[in-house]
Amino acid sequence: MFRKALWMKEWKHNSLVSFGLLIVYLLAYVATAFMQFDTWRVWQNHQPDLWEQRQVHEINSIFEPGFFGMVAILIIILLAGYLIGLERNTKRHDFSLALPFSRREMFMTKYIMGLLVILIGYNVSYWLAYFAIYQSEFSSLLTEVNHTNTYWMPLVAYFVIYSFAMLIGTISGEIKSQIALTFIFLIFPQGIFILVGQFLDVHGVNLELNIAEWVFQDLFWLNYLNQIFFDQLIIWIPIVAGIIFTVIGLIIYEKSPSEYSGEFLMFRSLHPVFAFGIPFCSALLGGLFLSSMLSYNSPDSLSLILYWIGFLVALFFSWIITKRLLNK
Amino acid sequence: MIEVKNVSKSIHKTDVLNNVQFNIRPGTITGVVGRNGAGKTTLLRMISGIIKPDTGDISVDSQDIFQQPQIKQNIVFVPDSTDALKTYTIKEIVKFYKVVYPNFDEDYYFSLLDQFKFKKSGKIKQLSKGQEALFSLILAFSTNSKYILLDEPTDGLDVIIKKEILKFIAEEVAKKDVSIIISSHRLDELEKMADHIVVLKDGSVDSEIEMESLKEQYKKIQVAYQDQFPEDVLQNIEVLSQNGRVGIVLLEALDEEGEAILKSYEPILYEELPLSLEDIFVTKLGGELYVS
Repeated sequence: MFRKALWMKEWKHNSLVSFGLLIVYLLAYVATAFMQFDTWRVWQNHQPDLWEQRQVHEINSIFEPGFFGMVAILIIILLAGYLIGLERNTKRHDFSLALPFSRREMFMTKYIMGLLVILIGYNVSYWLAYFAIYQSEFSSLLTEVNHTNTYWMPLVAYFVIYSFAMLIGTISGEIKSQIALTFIFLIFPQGIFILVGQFLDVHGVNLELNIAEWVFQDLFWLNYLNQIFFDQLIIWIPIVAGIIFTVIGLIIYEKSPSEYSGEFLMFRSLHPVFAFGIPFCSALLGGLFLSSMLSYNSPDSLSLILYWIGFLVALFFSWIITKRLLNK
Repeated sequence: MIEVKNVSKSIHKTDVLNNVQFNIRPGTITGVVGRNGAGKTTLLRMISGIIKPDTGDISVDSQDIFQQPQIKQNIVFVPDSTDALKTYTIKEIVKFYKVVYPNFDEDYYFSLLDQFKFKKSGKIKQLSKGQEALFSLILAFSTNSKYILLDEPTDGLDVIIKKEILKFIAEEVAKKDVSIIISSHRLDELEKMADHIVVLKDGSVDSEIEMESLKEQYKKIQVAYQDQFPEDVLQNIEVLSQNGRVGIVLLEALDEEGEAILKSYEPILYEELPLSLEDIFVTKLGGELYVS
């Protein structure tokens, strides 16, 4: 399965974005740790009471991905785009497929390389930060960190989102559609509940969103980057989902018709789904936007009228855009 | 041997190839000829395993190219553009090809670079268009692969570099036991080097021509008549050109009926001319020859 040539080819084209991810992880953990040391020393010396109250929160915040975790997600999605979508944008796709390797080997090389980039970047940064704190006068605070959560939860989030972006890459014909569809489908399970909920709400039907709490909690992968949710989340869900995404991605990559590379989608059979889905969801979104602009105590009839205006306007424009996208 | 068996393909609901069937024998040069949009590039992309056929099989040395992709170590596809190589340097691409193609001859590669006065370092994208085309051929021939597929190798190049490339291909084939498949709509180029021509028309194999037996298959005849050029000849025989009472016609070698029509109007001139592939192409495929 190990094909040196494929590894050489993938590294040649993805090393830049891979180093970008490493830098983001280093900023997220190592740079943050070093920058906090001075602040902590000031607090220790000048505001011991405040330090006493905050030290547990402070040490945990070092290991929380936070803003840089979100940047890392963006770069991971970009990395998946570089691995699959960008190749399809160019003549490199033909070049790759003409090489004496199976599609399974090609996909697995891409997938494993991307995963290793994430694992190495994350681990180097996480454990360098840990080591830096361990070597400092704050080492005793490390016992206050629940490493099972702070280490594994963000890692499984990166894993599942990366696997998902790779899966979307297998159906997309180029990098722009891969990235756009990855973002859209990342929030689709929650988004469709909100959109349908608002549609029903303006028509006088109240959808109880609590019934889908698990969709908003366990299937919203970005929650796994937020310490607030760590204790409520089941770590196996993103792991199993990531494995399923990978297997499906591999199967689709092997079957994808390369004559459509460079187009919005690789599979013509998906066009009817998208031709209906994009305008429908956009229309619901348009309705939601416009009806949400009203104040809380506005009459229901006005809300309904604005909803349908937003719905129809968004439907019109999204239909035109969808037609262009799919006929590209 | 490469065997293309009953291959069909439709893209965007259009039939690009329809029941295409032919063989490529070892050590020969096969020209795939057709007008733009005839399916030449699609066919070459299929033989190199890039596009899967909807129906039919493509095998190389009796192995299915899609089931046994490792057989592609014996095939190099040279597309009409070198965009895929442009991010590499001249040295990097050698390292890569040495890993992909086990028979890659690095010494030969550098000797060819010397011969054509290429720099041995720098990025491939810094080469001119003609140099890029020549460079991709040097790379392909250095792999020592059994089959090399060239998609419009001289398209858009100036006359000097075009001649240089064609000469290079001919020399390489003379030196090595390699089969070449060239797609082109430039018949004058193929005529001088191809052993076997596959004529594609609207996605189907219109005809196959063995260059050795070409002259036995067709006759090109110049005829002139005392009075006007007979309408009967214009209607029933392939007329390549006609100017007043003089015309040049193409007949199949065994077309006795056609010959009889020509002679029945008592021509004052009846002379067989040397036959070119271009004559057959124009007659078989119709329309302008050099379609851009």
